[in-house]
Amino acid sequence: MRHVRALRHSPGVAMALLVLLVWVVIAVFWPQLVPYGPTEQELTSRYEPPSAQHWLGTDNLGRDIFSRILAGSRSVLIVSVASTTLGVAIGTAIGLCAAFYRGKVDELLMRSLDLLMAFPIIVIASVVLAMLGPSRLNLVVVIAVMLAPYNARVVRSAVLSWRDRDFVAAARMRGESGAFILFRELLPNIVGTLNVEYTLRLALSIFAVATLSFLGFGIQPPTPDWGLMVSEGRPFYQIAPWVVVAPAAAIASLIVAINVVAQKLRS
Amino acid sequence: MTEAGPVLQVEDLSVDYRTGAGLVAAIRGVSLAIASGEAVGLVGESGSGKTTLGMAIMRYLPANGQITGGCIRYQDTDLVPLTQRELSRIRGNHIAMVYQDPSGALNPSLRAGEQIAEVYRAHLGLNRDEARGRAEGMLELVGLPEPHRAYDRYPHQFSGGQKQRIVISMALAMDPNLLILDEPTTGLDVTVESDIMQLFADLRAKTSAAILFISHDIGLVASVCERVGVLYRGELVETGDTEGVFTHPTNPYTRGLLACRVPPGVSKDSRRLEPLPSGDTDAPVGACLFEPRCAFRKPRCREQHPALYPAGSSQHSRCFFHEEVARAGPPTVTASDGRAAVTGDGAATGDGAAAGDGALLEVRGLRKVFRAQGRDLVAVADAAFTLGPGRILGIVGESGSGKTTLARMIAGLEVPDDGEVILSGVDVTKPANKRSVASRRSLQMVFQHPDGTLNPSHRIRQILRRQMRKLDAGDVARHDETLAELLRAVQLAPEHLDARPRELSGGQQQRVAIARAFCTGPQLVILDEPTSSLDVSVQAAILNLLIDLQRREQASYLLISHDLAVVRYLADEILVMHDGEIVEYGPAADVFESPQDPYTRTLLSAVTARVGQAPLAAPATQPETADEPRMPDPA
Repeated sequence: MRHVRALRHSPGVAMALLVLLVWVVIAVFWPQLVPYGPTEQELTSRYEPPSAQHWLGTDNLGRDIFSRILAGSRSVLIVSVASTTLGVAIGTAIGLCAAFYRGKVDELLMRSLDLLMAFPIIVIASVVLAMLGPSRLNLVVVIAVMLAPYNARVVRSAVLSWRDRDFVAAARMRGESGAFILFRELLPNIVGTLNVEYTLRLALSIFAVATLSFLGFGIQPPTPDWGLMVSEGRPFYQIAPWVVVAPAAAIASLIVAINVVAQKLRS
Repeated sequence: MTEAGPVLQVEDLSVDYRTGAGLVAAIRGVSLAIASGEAVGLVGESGSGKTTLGMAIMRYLPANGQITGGCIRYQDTDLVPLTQRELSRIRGNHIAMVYQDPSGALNPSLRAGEQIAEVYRAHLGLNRDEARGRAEGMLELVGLPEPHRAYDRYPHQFSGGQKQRIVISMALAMDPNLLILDEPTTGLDVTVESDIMQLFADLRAKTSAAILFISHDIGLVASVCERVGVLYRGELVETGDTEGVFTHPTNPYTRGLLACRVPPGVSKDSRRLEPLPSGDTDAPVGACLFEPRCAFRKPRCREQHPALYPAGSSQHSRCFFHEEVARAGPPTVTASDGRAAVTGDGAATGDGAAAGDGALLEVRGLRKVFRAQGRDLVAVADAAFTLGPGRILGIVGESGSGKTTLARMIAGLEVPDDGEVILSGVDVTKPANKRSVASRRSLQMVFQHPDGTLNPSHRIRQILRRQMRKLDAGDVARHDETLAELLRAVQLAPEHLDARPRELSGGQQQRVAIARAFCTGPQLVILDEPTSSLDVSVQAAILNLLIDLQRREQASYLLISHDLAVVRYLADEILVMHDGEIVEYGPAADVFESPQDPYTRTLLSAVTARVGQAPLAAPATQPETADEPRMPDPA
């Protein structure tokens, strides 16, 4: 109840949450919501501008863009949520260990992460995906691995401020294992940090999914996907801008909404 | 500066803080006046609003704090309506403040001297050389050796005490008319503290600044100030001449504060401490704020809020029954009856120290070296001692003396480079998790910071039950019973079990920590500054609790403290550490009565100087001022 009342004072956050809720509902129920099949081609009505029949127009194969946007939401959300969850889990584990054990463990972990972070995410991801072949699972794993270092750094510094508290000394004197101290004593105290981290990484992950699909390393045609739609529409941008604008706006709405929520969580 | 009026006059000042739980009153109608050349003390425990008052006078309140009434008159100017721009002129030239933490007041990336010279350049427009000359003069005034070289050094190259001297010289740079000192020696070692207090005494002879001295330490205030005000929950409850207030208190709170101090030179065997009842419950609206904790309370105290009434020759007391309090006389805390106690238990201590055969803890040649910036720092050098069952060993030393490292090696939190720790005949020279369950059960520790000692995300029940389960403390089926009994022993209510640490006060948190240490029936408990972050009134209750538990459980204590009165009170034997070495070790009475080592003597004399309580030399001219608090209407 208190949270609901708090939302009234921040209409931006309420709006962002609404946008996210709508996308989640669409991702789950799109088969019931779409007016046309997302892969249904109608070659007689190509590049039709937005109209009552086709709300967002049609693309180069005469497919209904509105239906494809709705259908595309599912893969974006699944891949980005899965990769963020995996990435934050890996990053948190690394950050906890580095901060708790310090010394050589810390040095080794953090320097390897630095190495990984020295390369631009997209470059490495596209090389790896080119080698492994594009698949949803590969996409999730690659994005997770690319997100983890950033998360690990933040978690490490959060844990550093806790590890020298006396309750950790008390746990050590009790004879607790390292894993117990990490996950039962330290982890609960950085949950707030993790929430912010998760939302920020989720936004980054959506961006990465869309980018990799755009480059052709992600979801493969004819499956409807936002990044792919931008990429496919790009040659026809001059004659049918809606082919590109609609999926780009969808990506933007999701990322902006998540960032607004992250901003709120941080304060 | 005119002789006519007081330098500072605060009238009926109220300050509120906006918090998540609504408005909280921090200062409630405080009035006080300080004349030129006069030093007025403000004593109070944490949360009494003493720092808020200092900040309000400087108009440095945090963003959620606001002055809701009254005025702050500096000479003839009311500071409350002034803009920040107008204030900054007054602050630099006329009013200066020294805060508790000297490191926070100095810019780490500027040379020490330049920070003082900057004051002259900004306010007087002096050129570089002139400003440097004046700054070096100030450094010399505050007793820094070689001011010319000190000028060019950076803050981190000075010790804590030296840094505080630099901050003081900055505050004095413009020869302010009003100097506010907020806990200026808290956090400094005793010997450094006594040097700084001596510096204040010397400076008072040289300047005629009015001084507002804010402290939780009654002894310090008594040694500096002519007049004193006692704050309780944002309200002045007693004002008057320092000597009168501290020798013949007329307010139950002042009396309680005096009574619950650990008397210097007294041991636990001769007198029990008199704690103030805990302040965890609030007084009803319209009642006397101190009523829930008051020893003199009557029904009237719940119905009406008392005003400040004149009591005694110079004092004012916020109590309906101040005459009764005055008649009750001062609490029986004097150094003289302490002396008698010292000789009394000296004999009793001797045989305990000699009983070395059945030693509970034996430490042999313990050594720890830390490597810092390529240099070896010997934290503990070849420490050796034994501790018998049921004995209390006090470890005394200043910061950096190695006392905490020594305790952490015994606790298994630090691995020694050399030497052995033997507990009940078993070699436990290894990290805690490599020790047997029995060893871990019999060696427990109570830590210094109550807010760090309990995991904030766990409930008290979880914390205590985990301790018992992990250490196989007795029958699991009986854990709940043990828990209930333990809670009674540390004087906590059963509902505290479901609380999270942040819902408890510092004293309550420390009680939980003590319960955690005792729930496994330990033979040895290491107490690392167990009361140093607690208020005096809470300290007395915790010390009494520790004594009771020790007697009941027949446990031994290893007590680490910088507070010599506390160590003297609790310990049977004493070990003095200095620069990683044990410089003195023997029965408590012997060490305190006839210290052999020069360092021990320095340490003890620093403390004796403090409890002397004689007001330090007052300036030659002591102006008469109409500074009595105005009589508010009792209605």
